[in-house]
Amino acid sequence: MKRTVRRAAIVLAALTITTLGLAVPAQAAVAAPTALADCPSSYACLWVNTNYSGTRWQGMNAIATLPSSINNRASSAYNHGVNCEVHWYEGSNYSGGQLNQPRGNSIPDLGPLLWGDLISSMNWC
Amino acid sequence: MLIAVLAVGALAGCGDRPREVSPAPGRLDEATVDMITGSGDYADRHHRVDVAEVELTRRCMRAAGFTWAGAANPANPEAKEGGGVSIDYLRRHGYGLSEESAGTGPEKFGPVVDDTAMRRALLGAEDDLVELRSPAGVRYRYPRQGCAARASIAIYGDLDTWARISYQPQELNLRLGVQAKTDPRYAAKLQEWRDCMAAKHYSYDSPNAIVAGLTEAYRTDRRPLAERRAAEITIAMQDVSCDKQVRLSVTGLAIRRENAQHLDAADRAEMARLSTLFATAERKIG
Repeated sequence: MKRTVRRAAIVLAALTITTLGLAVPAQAAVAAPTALADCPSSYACLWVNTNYSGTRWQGMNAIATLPSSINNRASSAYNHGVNCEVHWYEGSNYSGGQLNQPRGNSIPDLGPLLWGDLISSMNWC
Repeated sequence: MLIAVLAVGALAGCGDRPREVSPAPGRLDEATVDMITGSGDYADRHHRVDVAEVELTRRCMRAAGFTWAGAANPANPEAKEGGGVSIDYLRRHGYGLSEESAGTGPEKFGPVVDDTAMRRALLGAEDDLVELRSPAGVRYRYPRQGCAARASIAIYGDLDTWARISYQPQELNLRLGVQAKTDPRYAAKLQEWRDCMAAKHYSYDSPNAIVAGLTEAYRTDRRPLAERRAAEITIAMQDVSCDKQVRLSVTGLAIRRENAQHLDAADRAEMARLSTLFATAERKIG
């Protein structure tokens, strides 16, 4: 671990340069849809419909079985937490296939992932 | 939908495929199959990179004046052999259906004062996102500014590489998981698991059916939570014992690994490319 942190310090030099103002390389950019803002900070959110619409569920704690209003009904997902990656699971009790979603990341349509109406549990980190 | 596309086309980080596609290898190497299935050495390798990335993010946040309580994903030794939930968790919580209260979320930790400023330092402006569209058409959106993005760039070289490594292998793994469950070899192991559980006086169709069955039974269960939890933990430990005895999860993983070799040529080429890029990222942190 110490070695990893020491090497990380070397990489930090490059990081510091960008922190001080050099631009991040250009990427294709999109603006956040307004519905994302409905998900409170520090929560992970699921919506019954695509593009963050319809009934929303929000959670801050690990939950072994999602409530019936959203269990196996989610079509879009957002990690609005700041501390951890969120893990969505196909089965209750964090079982089956696992979809990891880093901080600040969102997926407007779980359908093409074959994960529409499939999520049953969630935890963090 | 109110998504304004601010820039599209020829910039890195967009498009359905990288512009330079290498020829697909005849056979994926072990490291690439580990990455796709999230198993073998990749579980530990990814954990080390994750820890370094979080450490870089923390230092960046500190330089920006914030104490950030972020954490890396804990290592899960069970992932190496295809089992998702750690035995340690099962031993303490069973299926998590008989807890006194909801599990404490890590999002509760850390300062909440000046949250907006902290979030902006970590993830940039909320409307400044990048989109990665996978070959299957899945759209992944992620912040392109802030300390988290900068840490990813420092380690992976650019955000596009970070996003592809984060999302594309797991997307294929999910697809392989669905395939594996329809494989006759998995079905045979599942029957052995049922027989094993029956020998211990439990009757369930599958591991998932246990949770569904217990959830239903608990609607009318009046036992004290501690007593109920103890019984639940016993079932969970029998479940994992039978899984290991008949090699249910291990077989599921073996089928996923085998089927990874039969992904289409474009996916195999992309996975081989990402595996190489991950190794490059790994060398940066030592």
